[in-house]
Amino acid sequence: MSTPTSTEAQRRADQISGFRAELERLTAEGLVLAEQPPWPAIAAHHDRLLAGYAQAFDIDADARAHKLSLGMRVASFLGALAMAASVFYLFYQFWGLFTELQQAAILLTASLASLGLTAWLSGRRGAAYFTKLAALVAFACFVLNLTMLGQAFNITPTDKALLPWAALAFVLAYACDLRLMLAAGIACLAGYVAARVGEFGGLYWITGGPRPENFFPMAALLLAIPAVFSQQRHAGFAALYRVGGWLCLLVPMLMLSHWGVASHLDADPRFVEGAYQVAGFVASAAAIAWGARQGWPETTTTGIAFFVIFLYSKFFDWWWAVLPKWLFFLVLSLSAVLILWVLMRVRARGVLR
Amino acid sequence: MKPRQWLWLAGAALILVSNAVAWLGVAYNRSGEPESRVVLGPREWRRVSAPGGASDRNDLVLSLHWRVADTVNRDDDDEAYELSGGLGHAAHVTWLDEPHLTALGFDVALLMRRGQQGAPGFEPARHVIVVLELDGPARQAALEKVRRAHALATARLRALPADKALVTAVQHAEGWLAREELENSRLFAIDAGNDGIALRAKYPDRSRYLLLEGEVRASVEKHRGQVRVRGRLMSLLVPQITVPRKWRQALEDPAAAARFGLREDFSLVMAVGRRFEPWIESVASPKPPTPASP
Repeated sequence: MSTPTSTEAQRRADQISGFRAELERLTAEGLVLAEQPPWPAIAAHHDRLLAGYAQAFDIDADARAHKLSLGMRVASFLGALAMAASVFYLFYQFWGLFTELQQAAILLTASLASLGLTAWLSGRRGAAYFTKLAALVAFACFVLNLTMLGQAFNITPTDKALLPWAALAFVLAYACDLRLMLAAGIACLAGYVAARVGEFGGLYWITGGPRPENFFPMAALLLAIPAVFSQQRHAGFAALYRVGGWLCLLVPMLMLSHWGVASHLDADPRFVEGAYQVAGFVASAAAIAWGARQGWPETTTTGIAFFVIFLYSKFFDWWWAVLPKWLFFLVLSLSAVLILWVLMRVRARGVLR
Repeated sequence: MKPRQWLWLAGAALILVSNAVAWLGVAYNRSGEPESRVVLGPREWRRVSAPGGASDRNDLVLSLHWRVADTVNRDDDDEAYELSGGLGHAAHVTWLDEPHLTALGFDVALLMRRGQQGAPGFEPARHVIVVLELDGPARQAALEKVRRAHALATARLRALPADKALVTAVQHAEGWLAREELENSRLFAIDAGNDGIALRAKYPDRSRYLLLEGEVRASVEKHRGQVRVRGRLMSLLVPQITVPRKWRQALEDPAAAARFGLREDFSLVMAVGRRFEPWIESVASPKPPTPASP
């Protein structure tokens, strides 16, 4: 049997926990005698597996540990943010004391040292949360490295810096199984691709954002990544790519449905807005249907959320000024009931798995 | 070697390569003779951050204080318009007219069409090379304008010496003239283009004309019932310049300035390199103030 990853070990531990809970219930209902074969052997096998996993990984062996680890995740996230802020202000506090050469050396050393610390911690048992903390600090150090190097030598700000930042975020995400770093990498990459698309048209990269269509290539890229490259060994990565992809598609559509003048299309802005309203509804519905068909709840949820946002924003445009407020909100609530009813019908047919 | 170890090595290589690329960029920018080199007096720069300041930063950062040669909405009696320009001011500029904006790559026809349809005109900013002129014809024109305003106010007061409003106007004009001669920046944005070589050929004096990268926007406005497209000079892409530590001491501390053999109102020698990125080359004793032309 191949050595499992931390994700696979956690998944197996969750399955064992669920299995044991159900076995307890079946025993209580008199359907199973837990003392008789083969259950003792299975229980012993599970114990050995869990002990092995606990030896090798920081996993939650049962529901209580799972609840506790949620709190630890929050604490490590907040701690990492505070640590990154601390590094930022520390740099600025003493920055003026150093020559340019010393500044460059400090920035490089801080980046390499924080990455080295993360690598060292990642191999240590029981250090998973500290690894996450160190990874975020390593990312912050690298962002500061290039930013402050740019400031020290008056380098023109460039979107190209987003690319190494994204690359390091992906390295940290895959090396430490960190979804937060993956989200940071996706955000940097989305910014880079949008800026590049804008620069092809001569726009300055920081203002590439006002052309929301620049994010569409990134949507295609993000949706394609989990389809082409298996993310099986990293829990939640595929879902994060898909959510990122749909956000890169639906958020620009939502913006353009209200701000047609920002479109690349050389058409009447009112026509552009109407077209993107229709496209937004179609894309949201497609996300719901595709997510339901593939069994991807995050895709379905994203689709539903945007379908509702598109619908409510249209209701606002049409009726906010003309309807009494009580009637307007009644229409909103009735539409929510209608959406719920439709989704329940779909679920009852077994489309949503 | 395990795949994870390869990842760590890749991360370290990424950090090293990114730093090397940034360093090579700086080295290339500063190699050879600077693209331009100007001596800026205290009126041409402002302190952005300094040790002990509110920003919690311990380094010294300056911003160039530049002005636009002529603003669209200028009011002949308003010094504030004359001083507009620079970060945050986003000044409308007369020379950024429709043909100039078209040459910079803006779709002026589309903006005009949208303006005529009543839709808001919008074009994201474009990256251009801005020509900044130090103490040249643009400054002389600004000075002449203030002198004319001063002469006009004085003449009016001579005709009606009891008029308190005219007395105030003369005082205002005198203050403005004094500031224009001694305090207001002599650095004017006078042109912009996409081709640095062509701009340098047009403005060959490298000690008077700085080429720096900047950001221009175009917007539609209605003026006396007519739709027109106007350009705005938003900011320079490197709006802040960090002062190297060896020069910083002289700038911060008058006593240190004396040790360097400099007066308090010394000037900065600013160079701009091949990538149009500036740096402080040295701190110099000031030239005598430019004599006001009679």
